Amino acid sequence: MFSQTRINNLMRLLRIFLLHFQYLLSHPSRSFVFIYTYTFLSLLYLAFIRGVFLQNGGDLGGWTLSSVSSYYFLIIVAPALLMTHPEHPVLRDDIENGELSGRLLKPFSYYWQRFFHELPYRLFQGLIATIIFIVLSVLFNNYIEFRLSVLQVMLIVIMLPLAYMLSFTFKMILAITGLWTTDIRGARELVEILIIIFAGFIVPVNLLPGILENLAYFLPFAYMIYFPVVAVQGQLSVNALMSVISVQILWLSILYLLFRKVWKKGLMRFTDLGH
Amino acid sequence: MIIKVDHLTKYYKIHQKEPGFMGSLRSLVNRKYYDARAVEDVSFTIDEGELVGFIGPNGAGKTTTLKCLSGLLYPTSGNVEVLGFNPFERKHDFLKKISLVMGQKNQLWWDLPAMDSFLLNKEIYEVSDSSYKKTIGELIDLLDVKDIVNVQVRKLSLGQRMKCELIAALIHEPKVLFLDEPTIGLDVVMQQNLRDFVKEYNKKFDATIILTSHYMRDVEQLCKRIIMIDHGKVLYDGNLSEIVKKYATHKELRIVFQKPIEKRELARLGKITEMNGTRVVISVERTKSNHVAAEILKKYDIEDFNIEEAGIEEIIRDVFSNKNK
Repeated sequence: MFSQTRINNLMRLLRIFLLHFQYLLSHPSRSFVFIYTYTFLSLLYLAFIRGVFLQNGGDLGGWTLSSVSSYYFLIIVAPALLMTHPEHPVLRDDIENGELSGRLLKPFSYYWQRFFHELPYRLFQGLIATIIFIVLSVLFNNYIEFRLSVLQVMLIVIMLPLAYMLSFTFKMILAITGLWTTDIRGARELVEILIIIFAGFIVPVNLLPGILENLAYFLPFAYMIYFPVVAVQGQLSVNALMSVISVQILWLSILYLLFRKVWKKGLMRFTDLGH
Repeated sequence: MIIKVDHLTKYYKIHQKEPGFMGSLRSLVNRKYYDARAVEDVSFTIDEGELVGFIGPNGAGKTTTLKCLSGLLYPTSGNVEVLGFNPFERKHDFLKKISLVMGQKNQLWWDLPAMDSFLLNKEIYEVSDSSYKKTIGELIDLLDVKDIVNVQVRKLSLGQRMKCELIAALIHEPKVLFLDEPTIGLDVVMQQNLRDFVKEYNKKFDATIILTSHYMRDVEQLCKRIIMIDHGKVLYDGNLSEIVKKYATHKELRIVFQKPIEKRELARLGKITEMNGTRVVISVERTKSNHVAAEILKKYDIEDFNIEEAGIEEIIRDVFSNKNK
């Protein structure tokens, strides 16, 4: 099925991944800090929404207290696993500190160099977040019921890497705009706020006010976090899963083409002056 | 021919702001840019196995040229060809054959031993296990770093790190090596070790090497040919020995007299550059040096006498400073 060359190449990529994993393990505490932030915020949002449920009782936009609690517990796992942050090392190390030169001279695309740098962090943080998710489920006596068909599981398995790639490509575009401007911290903060709102961090997207809900379905952020979470909760039918995957593929194609265009133009401007 | 540079020009667009608060306000609405000329109309060729010194003062355009040659920068105009490739396309086949080492840059993982970075480069450059084993063994021996390659990089001294950087850059046995200030910040012993290594690498792998350095000793010891560049333009391209004939206008007479001589008396023979008791150094025009030497030998009681060419560093400094006048 696979030629020997392809197997060798896959093994090579695996070794590159494992070497990057070693790098992460040389400073694991950094990952815990990020996880605590997600956990704290998620529990804070849950505390607010619990108040709303306890005041109004019953269900809200199809959510029950139990399902919404599971949602916020999963919102700890989803960003840890799927919300990538290549913009930090790209901006700080590569563009500001001048390490981009060294990376450009490697016979390995810059996009994939950064991909392999980021992936271990997501897997490691995803693992820690999953443990936190289990602990919280036990503590709150709120267990998620996985009532998914085999087909749904298969579609979710496709959806998760797409969500990851979507977030990664989007953040890479954001990061390389640093080749034009001296400081993109403002833009980065703005994007983080948009993600918090439209990816479903504060409330599930279908609980957003009308126009914001529609906007959320139009923007790519919900396809990075919200839809994977509700898919795991079993709230999406097979048809809904397929349409979410279609939109993810569409967004990923657009963003990847945009990345290539921006990257090519950025490199023409790249001067590496002062390094 | 391995490297061909044809009328290479590179300008940088630089933002210029007037000083002060009003300058900042003006700059907000009307940003002013100017084209800084880094390299202008530079042409040269380099053959296989040559070790060429690329020298010039700060901001002369040395690093910019190297960056154009390695494909990091897109030239404003002109053509560059390295190993038959257009460097800026950065094709993987091209990148596997070159390496750029910048003395102040770090490509090693800081928190891991250098060996892990070597392994990463092995995979990235698709070096076979057998070739890696052979090359890494040779490089570790040549640079004498057996004891430190398994130590966390952050714990290494600057010199040790530089040696490891070199290994990381050479694992794929590049045919063309660009060395930008490789000895910067190193002590004299380490500088000498690196020079010996570069010479050995050049010989062993028949590699083509371009070296930039502020230390003339690097260039003197390693390069037969030098390219002098200033303000983006090539001032001289030729043998290092030829530069003495072409640019050295003076010779130095180093004399030890048997008894002290009055400074005023010697000053009419040439420019006294050093005087310490009976030891005197007089700089005289090349054409007059034999005549002056004969006169001194005839007139004074001499204990020791030498006629020397001015040092390369001095000649080059003179060339650059005369050019700037």
